[in-house]
This record gives sequence, structure tokens and C-alpha cells, in this order.
Amino acid sequence: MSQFEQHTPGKRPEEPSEALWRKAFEEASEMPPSRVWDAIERRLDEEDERGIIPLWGAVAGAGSSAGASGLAVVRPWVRWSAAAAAAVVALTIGWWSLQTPVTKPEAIASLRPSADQPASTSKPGERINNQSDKAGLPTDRTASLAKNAAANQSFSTNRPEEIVLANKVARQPQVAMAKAKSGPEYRIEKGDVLADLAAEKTMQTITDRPKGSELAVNADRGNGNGPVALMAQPGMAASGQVAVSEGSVAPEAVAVLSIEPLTSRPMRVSMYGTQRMVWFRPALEPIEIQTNQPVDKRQLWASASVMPSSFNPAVSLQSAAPAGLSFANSATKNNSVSARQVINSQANLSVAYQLATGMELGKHWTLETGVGYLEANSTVTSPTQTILAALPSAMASELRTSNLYADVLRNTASSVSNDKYTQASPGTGSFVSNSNLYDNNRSQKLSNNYQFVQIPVQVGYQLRPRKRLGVAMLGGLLTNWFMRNKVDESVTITSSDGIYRTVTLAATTGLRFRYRPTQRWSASLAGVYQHALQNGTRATIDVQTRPQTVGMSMGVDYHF
Amino acid sequence: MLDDYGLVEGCRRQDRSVQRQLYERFAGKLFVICKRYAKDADDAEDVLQDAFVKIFQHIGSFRFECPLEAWLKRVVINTALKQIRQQKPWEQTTDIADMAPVLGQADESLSSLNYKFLLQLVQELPPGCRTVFNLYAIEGYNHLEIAEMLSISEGTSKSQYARARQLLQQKLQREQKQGLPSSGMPPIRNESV
Repeated sequence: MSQFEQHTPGKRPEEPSEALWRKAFEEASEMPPSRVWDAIERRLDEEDERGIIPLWGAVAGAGSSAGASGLAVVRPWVRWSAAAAAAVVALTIGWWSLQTPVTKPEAIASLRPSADQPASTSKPGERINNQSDKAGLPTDRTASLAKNAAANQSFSTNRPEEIVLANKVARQPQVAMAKAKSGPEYRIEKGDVLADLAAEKTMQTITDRPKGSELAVNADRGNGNGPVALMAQPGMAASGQVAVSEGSVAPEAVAVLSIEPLTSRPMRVSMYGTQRMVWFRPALEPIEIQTNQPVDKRQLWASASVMPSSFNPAVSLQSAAPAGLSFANSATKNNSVSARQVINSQANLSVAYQLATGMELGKHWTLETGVGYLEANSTVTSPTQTILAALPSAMASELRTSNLYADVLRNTASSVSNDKYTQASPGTGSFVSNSNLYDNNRSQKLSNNYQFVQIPVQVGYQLRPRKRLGVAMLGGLLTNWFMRNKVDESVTITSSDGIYRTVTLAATTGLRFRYRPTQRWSASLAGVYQHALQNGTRATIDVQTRPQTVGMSMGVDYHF
Repeated sequence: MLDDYGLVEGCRRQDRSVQRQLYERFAGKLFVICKRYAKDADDAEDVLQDAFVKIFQHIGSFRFECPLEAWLKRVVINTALKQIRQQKPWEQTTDIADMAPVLGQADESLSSLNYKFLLQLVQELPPGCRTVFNLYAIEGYNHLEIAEMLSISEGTSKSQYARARQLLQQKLQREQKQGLPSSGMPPIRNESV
């Protein structure tokens, strides 16, 4: 499709109104504000500033016409490709540089005669033997080296009086080029060489030099005009010797040269445009990952909570005739046995304060403990009996009321002193009892105020672990340390009175909702039920109590 | 003053002065086109800006196989359509049957109207209707071509066009009752600066 077809609408019948519309807009022109050109120019400048790679020919758009500029605006994928290629090249060079062992630069070889090693090769056999003794290299190996060298050496027959050494491998200035002109000691007379060759016929090994010391020179029989070359055996570059290959037919030459140990050359990494590349890795600070989600380490938290609750001590009498209770006379006792006395208790509002800490044992399980203080209120309904005290008192209509619950507690507790509930002394005969029975119908309500120190140990199972709104089921044991019980604000029973057990165990369970809006803080709301596993009083006490608590705990938690 | 060849060659060399000349020569007409497709003047400026950047970037592909102005218009229209396609204004289409009674009614009064008034009418059309109306009635494309350009069905193109015609006629009739700014308005003129 030509550009004309591409940019020209197709033919179709035209309605008159369309022609009117088209005509109306045909020559319409309205110059845009100058800011439009400014914006265009700015964008063009930005395009120019972005990468222009002259030679890569990243065609911008369809600018492939002949008249298009050789510069082309780089498309994004070209830029990324170039960056990726450059990164690969840089990494490759870096890896290669790191993998390349760096050795101390040493002189590869130097040709110089030594005092004990005559440079002349007029007596190569002797020379060879001497050096073989020093080097200690196996003879056969050196021979093979020499043979290998023979295939790669050439000997110039144009100047038989000279041996021109050319090391094409090492092109450093340190590499000595042995030329006969440089000194008489390097001059090898052809006659001598030939004589030696004739004497030995075969290549004699130059041995017992440090590794790589051999430098074999062989006359190239096939190419008489070729340069004489020395071949340094890789990895055996030490002080050089020239091992001369065998040559049964002249012209052949054997040169034994004393050169410095030929060591491996250090690889010189020459970056284009960079003379020195420093690979530096700074010490990195350990990165502390901070996320909103708790990490997999064990979470610890501390919480403070308050629990309004309903505390019911569930007080009851162990037997119909409390052992600790003394009656005014035998008739009283007999009657009391016949009629069972009942003590009831009712729950009142109680408050427990608790400081706790917890730890995650896993994703779901938690272990929690703490210390709390419970101030529990309840009401005990107990039968009473009315006692007419001494006559003067009776005359004054002074009646004394004896409460069964209080009597039991008081008689048990030696230190209890309660005038109000003082029981008439038996056997005194000083008073007349009109009604010696504890009458269930004449009950009396006594308030009880318990105080406990609690140590809960409970296990939790989180139904929604590590959620902002978590739900956990709790279960465990609660150790209650009895502090005191104040009965009707007048009788105070402490743990030393021997009525209540000092320590009792209770089972606790509950369901806790915890909302954790931040990483550190959360709020908890838990429904708790606690039930004593033991009788709260000692076995010898007729009054029994098994407290039950139902409450709603509210607290705040701080997560470490 | 450079001719089209000189302008194109200069723009290929990225000669800023030549680019400016090309802009000043064609920006007026192209801006009207942008205003026909855009919903307001700001959008039209954005479309024109994008279009000229494309023009200067792709001027090398222009081979003089069509008039330069036609090529420039097509670039501008394509740029405008690219933005319109992203908005998908023709998703709510009207059945072509509903528009049938209004088709074919000529707009006798158009000949005496100023393009600015007509432009205002066009700009008040819903985007989908406006686009199809521009392409069909003013640019001269058929519904099949429009359907391909906008990636819609041919029926959608027809219904959008019919809807546009209906709305325009209603507007014209309403304006006629209120007194059209027709003959009293200045004729169409080139407002190039």
C-alpha cells in the first residue's frame, strides 16, 4: 500500500451535508499557542540528549530513507541491549581477571655468560653434562623437549657464524635476543657445532637445570634461510639452556646458552581506556530487614490487663453439723442435726488486675504466664440463730444473732474476734436460748471480700496467627495464693488462720481477640472462665469453697 | 520559503529552524483537526504536541508518495485516535434502527456557518460520536475503514455516526430557533499567525 492509499480515505458516495461539513473545515486554521511549539522543542531536545549512537543504526521510526541522517535516535530496547552486552563483557573481563593468577614480574630470560658456565658451545658435550648435573632433570625428558624444539626452530645458514635468536612468544624487552655480534661468548663457530654434532650424532640432553631452563635451538634443515628461533618450553622457563636437536646431516647447530630463569609472565590486563582497575568490595553493613509481617523468630510480648468478672466462691457446708460449732446445749445440737443447714453464695462484681508475658512457641502455639491480683466480692447467705444473752441483756431486749457461716469461720480461726457474732458460751447457763437452732428461714447475708494473688500459666492456640485481628483459644492452670477474706467488713481471715488453703489450683480457659494495629502494640479482649480444681478451705474445715470466675479481660500488649 | 521537499530534508537533518518552519506552516490546520477530535483545547494542544514530535521523529519515512499535508494530517489523526481508543468512548452505542429516521436529513444551513461554530457543535458531541463523525463526514472514510481504525464493528461506527447526526441536527434546530450566528458571522478565514 502506497502512502497515498494509506493516508487517503477510500472512495464512497458523499452526502451533500458531508460536503458542507468538509468544506467548512477544509481551510480552517487556528494557530496554536506558542507554548505548544516550546513544548515540542523541549521534547525534541530531550530526545536528542537521550542516547544517540551514531554507528549502531537503531532506526528511529521508519527513518530509513536515503536522505535520513546517519544519526539515529536510540530506541529503548537498543539501549537496554547495549547495556546488557556491556554488563556481560564487563563481568566476563572481571571474572577472567580474578581467575588469572598474578605472578611477580621477573625477567624472562637474559642471556649472559656466567663465570662457571662458559658460553661457548665449542664443547657442548661437556657443557651439557655439567648443566645436567646441576639441574637434575631427567635426561629423557629433556631430550624430548629438545626434539620438540627441533621442529620449531630454524637456523640461518646465511650467517653460520651467528645464531640469531628470536623469541616470538615473549616480546618484552627483557627477553634477550642472543646474537653472535653481541659478544664473542655467544658466537658459535659452525665448525665447532658441526664437530660436536658429528661427535655425538644424536641430540644430547641438556639437563639438570631448573624447570623450563631448556632453550632448544635446532637448525632447520628444510629452510636454510629461516631465522633461528628459540623455543621456551612452557612451564619450564628458568635459566635457559639451548638444547640442540640431533642432526645427522649438516647444517645443524647446537647452541647452549646460559640465560636467566624464564618465569611465567604476568598477565597484563590492559583495559581499553583504563590503565588500572581496582576491584574493591566495601564492607557491607548487615541489612536489617524490616517488614510489617512478624518474622519467624519467637515473638515475646508483655501485657497489662484488667478483668471485671463475676466471682462466686460457691461456699457450702461439708456436713450438717459442723464440727467446729458448739451449741448451747445438747438439745440444740440434736435439733441442728435433724435439720440440714444450707449456706449459699452469690457472685458479685470482682476485678482482677494482671501483668503477663507471653511467647510464641510456633506459628499457632503460645505460652503465657504472669502475675495478677484478684479482689473478689461475693455474698454468702447463711442461717442464723437468735440467742438471748444474759438476763440484763434480755431485759433490755438485747438479742444476739449467731450466723452459722460466721460461727464456723470464727470458731476455726483462733484469732478471730467478733463481738457481733460471738456465740454464747456453752455450759455457762447464763443465758436462755429461745431458739437454739440455725433457722434456714432466718438467713443472713454476709459480704465476702477475697483477695488472691494469681499466677496463671496457660497455653494458647492462635486461630489467626500473625493477623492484624487475631483469635486465640487459651487454656491452662491458675495458681491462687490466698491473701485474706474479709467477712461483712468485720471478720478478717488471713492465710495464717488455717481456714483457707494458701495455694489452690484452678483451671482457666478463654477465647481472646487481639487487634494489633502496629508492630509493637496491640489490644486484647478475652472472655475468661476459671474454676477451682481444689477446695479452697482446708480439709478440716466444714465450710467448703470452690470459686468460679467468669469475666471479660481487657488489656494492652507490647510486642518485643 | 522552503517547499515541501526542502522542509522534509531539513527536518531529516534535524535542523531546528526548518522544523520550526514546517510547524508554522501546518500547525494551524492541524490544530483545528486536533480540536475536532479532542474534547477541549488543552487536549487538542497535547495531541498536536505529540503529533509533531512523531512527525519530526518519523519524517524520514515520508517518501513523497502523497502530499505532505495529507501525511501530516494522518499522523495527527492517528495520534488523536490513539488517545481516543484508550478511552473507549463507543462502548455505549445506540442501535442503528433508532437512528434511521434522522438519517438523510440535510443540513441546509451549514453553508452559511462559521467553522468555529461548527467546531463548537462537533466538540459538544459525545467522544465516540465525535470521532466517527469526524472520520466519516469530514475526513471521508467509510464505515469499514473507520471500524478498522478504531477496532470497532462497522455497525458501531454507523450507529455512532447516526447518533452524531441526530445530535447535530437537534443542536442546529435549537440554534436556529435562538437565532443562528450564520450569515452575520465572518467567513472562514485562515488565522495563521
